[in-house]
Amino acid sequence: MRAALIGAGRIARHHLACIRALPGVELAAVCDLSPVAAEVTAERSGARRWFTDHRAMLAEVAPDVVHVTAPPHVHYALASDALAAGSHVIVEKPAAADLDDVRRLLELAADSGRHLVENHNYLFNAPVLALRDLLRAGQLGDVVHVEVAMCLDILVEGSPFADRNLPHPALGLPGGAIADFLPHLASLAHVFVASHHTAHAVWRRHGAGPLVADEFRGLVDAEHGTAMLSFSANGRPDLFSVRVSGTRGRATAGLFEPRLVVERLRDVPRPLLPTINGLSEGRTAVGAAVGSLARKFRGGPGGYEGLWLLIERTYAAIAEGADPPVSPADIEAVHHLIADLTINAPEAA
Amino acid sequence: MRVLVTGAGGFLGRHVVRALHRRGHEVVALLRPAADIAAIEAVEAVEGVRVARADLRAPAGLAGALDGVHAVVHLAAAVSGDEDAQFAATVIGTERLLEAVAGSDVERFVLASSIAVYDWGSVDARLTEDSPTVQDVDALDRRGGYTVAKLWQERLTRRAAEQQGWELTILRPGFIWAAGREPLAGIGQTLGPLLLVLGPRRPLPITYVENCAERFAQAVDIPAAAGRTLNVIDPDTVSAWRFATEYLRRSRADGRCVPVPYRLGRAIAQLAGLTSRTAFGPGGRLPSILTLEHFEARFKPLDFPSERLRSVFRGPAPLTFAESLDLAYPRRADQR
Repeated sequence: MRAALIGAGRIARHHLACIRALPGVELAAVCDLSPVAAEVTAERSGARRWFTDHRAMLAEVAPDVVHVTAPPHVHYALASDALAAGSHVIVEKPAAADLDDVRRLLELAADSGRHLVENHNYLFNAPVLALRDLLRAGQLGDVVHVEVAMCLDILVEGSPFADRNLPHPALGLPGGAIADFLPHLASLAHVFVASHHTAHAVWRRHGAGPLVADEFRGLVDAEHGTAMLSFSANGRPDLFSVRVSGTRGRATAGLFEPRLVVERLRDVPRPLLPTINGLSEGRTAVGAAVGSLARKFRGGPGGYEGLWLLIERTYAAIAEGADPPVSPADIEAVHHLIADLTINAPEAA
Repeated sequence: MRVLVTGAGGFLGRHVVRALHRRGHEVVALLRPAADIAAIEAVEAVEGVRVARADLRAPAGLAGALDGVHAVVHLAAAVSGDEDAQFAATVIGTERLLEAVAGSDVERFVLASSIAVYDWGSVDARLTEDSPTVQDVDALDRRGGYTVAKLWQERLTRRAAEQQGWELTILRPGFIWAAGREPLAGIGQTLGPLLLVLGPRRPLPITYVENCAERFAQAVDIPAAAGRTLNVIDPDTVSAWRFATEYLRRSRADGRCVPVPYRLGRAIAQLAGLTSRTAFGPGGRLPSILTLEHFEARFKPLDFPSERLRSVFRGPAPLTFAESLDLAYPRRADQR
C-alpha cells in the first residue's frame, strides 16, 4: 500500500515512524506548505517525493492512504480533498472544527467508499486495552461510571501553548487550549459508556495565566452509565487516567505512566478483601514504576503506542476489507459530545 | 550601510547591534513580538537603532523591516525546546526570512551557524573549516535538534545565496560565553556541588561574546569575508580545567572541580551504548551525555586553530582571555 502525509509538524514524526515500521506499506510522498519542512521530512522518513501543494500530490501520487497531520483548522479541507481523490484518510484529532463539518466528512467518506479514521490513539494504549479486556471478561461487572482525568501543565516553558510570539491555533477555539484535549477525553469516555444523552460542562479560569479557561469539568449521562471528564492546567503533578467503576470492581488505567490498577470483588473472606486488593495494587505499582523507567530507555513509540496500533489496525482493515478500528459512528458520537460540552465554553476576546 | 539583525534581543544579538553601531552602520534590530523589556531596552540603548518586531515563523511579519537594508546578520534561532520546536524556529524561520530577502536590496548576508555542525567523531586532532560536517541521515538524527537545525539552515542559506546572487558569510562560533553564560555543557557535567571536568587538559572551543559579536560586525563590511565559512573561536588556548577553575574562583560560585579523564568518560558512554543496544536493540535511548556522538561533540580533545579567521579579519580577537575574564567578572577584578 502507498501512504502519503500532509503536514510535517510534531505529530507527523510519530505517524511516519509507524509507517516506516509497517511491512507492505511504502511512504510515497510527504507534503507541507514549507518547502524545507517537506524536503527534510522526506529525507528523514525515506519518502520518495515531497510536495508543497497537496492537490498536486494527490493527483500525481494517488496514495491509498493519506495521513492528515497539519494544524487543526485545515483538517477538514485536506481530509475532504483526500477522500475526493479516492484515498482512505487517517486524520489527527479533531477531524474538523465543528460537528457539522465532521458529519460532512463522514458522509463524503461513505459516499466515496473510503475509510475516515480519526486519531483516537489513547483507546489503543496498553492499559486502556487491558481495561477494555477486563470489562469484556466480566471482571468488573457492568459499567456504572467512568472518570477521565487529565492534569497537564500546558503553560510550562517550551510548551506550544505558552509561545507568546506565535499563538497556538487552538487558543482561538471555544474553550481555548483545553479544547485541544477534548477529543482525547471524549473518546475515552465514549468507549466505556457509549453515546451520551445529556452533558453539562463547567469552564473555569483558576489561575491568572493567558488561557480563557484553565479548568474544565464535564458531567455526562450516557447509554451505559455516567462519565466525568476533567482537565486541569493547575493540578500537579501531571496525570492522565481513566477510572471505570463497575458493579463488581473498579479499575484505573494510567496513560502518562502506564499501569492498570484493579480493585474488585474476589472469592475470599470479606475481611481479607482490602488486603488482597492492596497487595495486588502494590505489585502493579512496583511493576509499573520499573516498566515506566525501562520505557524511557527503550525508545520506540513510548506514549504513542496507541497511535502505532491504531495506524497498524487501520491498514490491516483496509487490506482485508474489514471495519476500521474507529468507526464513523464513534467519530460522530465523540464530536456530538464535544459539541455539547463546549456550548458554554468561553472564547478568546 | 543599513543592516538588519535578527535575534537582536538575544545574548549575542545585543552585542552585535553595539558592534555594528561602533563600525558606523545603521542598525534595524528585529525583535520578537513578545521580547522582554530587558531585550528591548538593551537594543534601544544603542543610538540610532530602529526596532522592528516580528516572529520569523509567522508569514508576512517582515513587511517593511527590509526597506533600504543592504546587509542581514541572521542570528535568530532556537537554542532550546524539542527538535520540532527548534526546526520550526530556526529552519522554517530562516526559510521565511530568505523569501523576504529575495525581493530586497540585500547584498550581504551573515549567518550564525555553529561548530555543532561538524562530524566530531571523524575529526582527527584539529577541527578546522575543512573538517567534515554530519552527512549521514541517521547520524544526524542521533546528534539531535540543534545540529539538524543548524545544518539545514546553512544548506538553505547557501542555496538562496546562489539563486539570489548576494554574498554569504557563514560564521560557526564555538561556545559563546559571558558571565552567567559559562560554557558548562562543553566543560563537563555538574553533579550537585561538583563540576566534573571532562578531559581537563583539552582546549575549549570558546569565544567571548564581545569578540564573537565583533566578528559578526566585521563580516558585514570586510570584503575578504564574502563567500567564506569560518569558525569563530578565540585564539588564546584555554584548557577546560583553566576555564572551570577561573570561573569558580572569579564568580565565587560554590562548588569544586573534579578532573575526569576523557578516555574514562568516553568508555562509560561506550559501555552505556553497548548495554542499551543489548537490552533494547538499535532503538534504545540514552541521556545525551551517554550518547557517544553527543559525548564526542562536547568533549573530544582537539585543537582549534584560528589562523583562517585571523587572516580574513586581519588580526587577533579584540580581547585576550585574561581581558575577557576581567570584563566578565568585574567586581573580582576591582578587588585585585
